[in-house]
Amino acid sequence: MDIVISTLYLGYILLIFGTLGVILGPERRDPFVRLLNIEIPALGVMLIFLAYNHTLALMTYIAINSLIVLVFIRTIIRKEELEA
Amino acid sequence: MDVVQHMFNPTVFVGFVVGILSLLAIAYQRSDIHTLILTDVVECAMLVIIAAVGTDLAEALILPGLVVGLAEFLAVSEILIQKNKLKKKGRKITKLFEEFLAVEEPKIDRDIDHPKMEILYSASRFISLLLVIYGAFLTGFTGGAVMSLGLLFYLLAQGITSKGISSEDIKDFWEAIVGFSGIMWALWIILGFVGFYLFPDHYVIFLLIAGGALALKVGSKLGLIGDLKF
Repeated sequence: MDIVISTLYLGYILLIFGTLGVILGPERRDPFVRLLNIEIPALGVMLIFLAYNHTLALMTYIAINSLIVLVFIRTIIRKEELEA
Repeated sequence: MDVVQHMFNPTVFVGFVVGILSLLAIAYQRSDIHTLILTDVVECAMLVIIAAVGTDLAEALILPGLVVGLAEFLAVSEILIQKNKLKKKGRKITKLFEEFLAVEEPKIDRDIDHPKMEILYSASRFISLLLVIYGAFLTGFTGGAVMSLGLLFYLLAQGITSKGISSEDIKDFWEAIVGFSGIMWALWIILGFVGFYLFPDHYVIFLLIAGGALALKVGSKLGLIGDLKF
């Protein structure tokens, strides 16, 4: 039970401070840096799923998260190509 | 008292804090692409609030939320790119993932025979039927996976032994399976979940409807993978 609670609170900390980092962090004008910063709250969500024992949701979230990063990177590259 | 009940209040609190922070950031944002990226953080907050309930129902609601979220991001990115393209004239309209789309069907001009694998010729129908029936008894995600394995095995075996499945047939079959899967999704969500809330006394019937529809939906969706080969 102790390790469950500590996993949960580590997830909370990563989620809140990761969100603050995405919103107010340094170099946030660059879309790539902002996209990479999103991985930290995503890891917090994964730890919270782990503490709640949501196995299927955790596995699907990991898979979907990598696909979302792929889509965003393509969008950013395309947009910079168009604006250049 | 259960440990999950102690975890409910702080999790919902954290979810609301993250949601309010990211929505405020979206309100002060001017660029399109930054708004789209910040929407991902709002989705994290939504997932955490749903996960706070900590039951199997919460897990079952997270899964369609994830898939719908991915579809939303794909659609919105595509719209964003198209909007930027329409501003500039003289460019041809392209897709977001155009390098990965198949232009024309690959053609194999020599016959491949598999004489060693007798099972593909004689027992493909029996084995796939066995797997589908077993999957129907399992219900849910596991049943859907077993069922789709049966469908995939049948389709791949038919494709290898080339028993009169043409490309047009496959296209019709694909459309039909997609429609069937959509109807099963509606059964799963509408009849299954709404039935729990409206008629809690008859929960066994709705549980069976939801589980069976989920099995058929996952099975038909994964069975589509077998079509890609032909």
